[in-house]
Amino acid sequence: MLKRILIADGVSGREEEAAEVIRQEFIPFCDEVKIHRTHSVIGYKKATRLKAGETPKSLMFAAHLDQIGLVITRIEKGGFLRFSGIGYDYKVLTGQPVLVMGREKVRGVISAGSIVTVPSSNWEKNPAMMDLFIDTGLSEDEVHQKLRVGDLVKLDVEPLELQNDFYSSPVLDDRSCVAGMILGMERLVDLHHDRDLYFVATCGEESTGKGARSAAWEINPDTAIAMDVTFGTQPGAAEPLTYPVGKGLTLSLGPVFDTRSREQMVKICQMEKIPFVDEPDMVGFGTDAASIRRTRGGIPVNLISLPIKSMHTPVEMMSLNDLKELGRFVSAVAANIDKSLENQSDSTDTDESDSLKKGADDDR
Amino acid sequence: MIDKFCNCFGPPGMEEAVVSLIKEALADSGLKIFEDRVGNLVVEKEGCSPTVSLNASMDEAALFINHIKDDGLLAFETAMVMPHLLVGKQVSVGKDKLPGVIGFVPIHLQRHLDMIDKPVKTTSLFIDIGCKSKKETKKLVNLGDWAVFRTAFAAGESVITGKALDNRLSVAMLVELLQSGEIKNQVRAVFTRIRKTWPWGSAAAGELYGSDYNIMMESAAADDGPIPVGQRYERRSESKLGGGAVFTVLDGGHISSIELYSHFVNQAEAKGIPYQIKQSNAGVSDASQYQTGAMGNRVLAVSMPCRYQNAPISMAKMEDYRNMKQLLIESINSLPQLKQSK
Repeated sequence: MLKRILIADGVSGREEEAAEVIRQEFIPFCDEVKIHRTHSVIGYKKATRLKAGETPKSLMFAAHLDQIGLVITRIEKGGFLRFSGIGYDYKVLTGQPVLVMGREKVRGVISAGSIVTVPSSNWEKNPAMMDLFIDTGLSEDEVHQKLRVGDLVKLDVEPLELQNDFYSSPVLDDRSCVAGMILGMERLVDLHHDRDLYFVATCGEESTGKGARSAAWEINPDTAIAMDVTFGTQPGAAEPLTYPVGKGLTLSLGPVFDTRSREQMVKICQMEKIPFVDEPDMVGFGTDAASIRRTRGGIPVNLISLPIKSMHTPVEMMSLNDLKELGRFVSAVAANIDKSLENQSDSTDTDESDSLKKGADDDR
Repeated sequence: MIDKFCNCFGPPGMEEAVVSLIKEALADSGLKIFEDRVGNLVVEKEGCSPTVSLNASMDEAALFINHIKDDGLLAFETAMVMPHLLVGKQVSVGKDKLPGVIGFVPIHLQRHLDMIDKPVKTTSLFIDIGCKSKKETKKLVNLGDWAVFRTAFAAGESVITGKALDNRLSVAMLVELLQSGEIKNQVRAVFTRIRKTWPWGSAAAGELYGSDYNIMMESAAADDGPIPVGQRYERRSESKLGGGAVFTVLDGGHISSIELYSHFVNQAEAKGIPYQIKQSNAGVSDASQYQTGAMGNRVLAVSMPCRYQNAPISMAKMEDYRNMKQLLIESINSLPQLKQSK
């Protein structure tokens, strides 16, 4: 399942193929699945336990299905292709194999031109973004026949299973969280939940956030949880900017995030022994959480994240154990969000735990 | 067969997989095959005189593991591979091809770390195979092991891509020539080890296996592209894709034999086979080793035009492959007897 989701095409703005693949994965676990006009995928699962006469509250999970990508902007003399993109680091692009999705899929290489062959003088300099181009080896005529300005370009890199439970692939941002959502859905088949659940694989997060905003507007959930990736610790990037990969999830902390539902989630994680740490986030931009938070007069939102190394490169790396915990988080929160829970931590402050219990029953 | 050769794991000094593949391909040929004491593979084919030595190196540009860090990641050095080509790439470590990746700090963080325009250095790049400690990694990888690029060979309608096109295309071509028997002369085919770090393989071979005529089968850079912004002139590459086999007039280590060189060019002209002359004189190749070796001194380097030679993914054209092969057959078969000089 993970591999199927990761290799589907879904560059921001052209997410159709990925949306369809994900829709198929949602179907066994949801009562209804539809593809929104923005190409977000919305899975709806009715509350399994209804209190007589009451409309169930709703809970929305959001993970984005779109990926960063490149687009052809110009066909130069000689058939070389200039391109532009969102989210990529030009240093990562040189020497990457690509597939240009034109009238046919054409294989190519991203090159920085003569800098590649100069044996000594330019080893000390990085290529400039504007010097990069895609080389297909075809003649100019052949290129014009098969490709056009505006064609999308995909990096031709497959997922890799590494030692232990590490897994490297492009598009872990954010299909890994879509997969986490699906793992959670699978677990919910055997669990009861009091709320109507909406699972949204949003589109457009990397560009405008339109998928999350429009879905949140339509659904108007009582509570929302965005799921995205965060920076993993790696050579050159240590704490406090990053979080270790394989040691659990992060739960964002800051003014934008809803404290009541967050406190409940903390208790749920402690009860279920789901490993997580706080991730301080002062402003709150950068994910679907921001888009959801400012829709419909403000929807209470929180952000759970999966640490990955080398974000926005074709060799993003995550821990499959962390992914499993993300799935457990989704199902545990969906099943327990309104339950009255004892404060599970070792806090000896009894006053605090009493008031939290009362607070847990009233989520809004 | 080209795909199998290119996908092989064969870094400098560890070309066993390539050797096996060559032996397998020539198993039913009846030719005499032996490996000498430094591992060069020699195939002798009977035929008419003059004898020709054909040399093709077997190794590929790769990453030499020179340190295992405490966190389990691998530090490495390379010969010939530009550092910025290594960022964000997948590699195969060791002969068992363990998957690994060379990661990089996300662009979002580079601003905070003052990294955005700093040049990439090989010393700040590491191979991650997913091990969590030095102890764990040492069970799987040794110092002195190599990592190769993990690019699979792919053939389009006319363009082929993959890793190690330099020099496995020549290796495959030489094997095909030996299999088919289209060359009538007596041939000493030498598949040398270790070329990418320095021509050690041919340094040995040049001493022992030279003949009257010695032809090095290599590849020449055919990198091309739009003029970089800010540069006023077009930089010529050494050769062009689709231009046919490339002849080297001279390079940093040898001067090609005028007899051989003009014979090949005349044959190409006469038979209408595309060829081109290498546009730059830089570099040191196997030819230098044969020219200064104990036995042979008539050398000619004949190369496949190839883009991105020492990079994760190289590019070449099948029409150049076919043309170079045909040119070799025609030219060698028509080589004149050597005039003995006193």
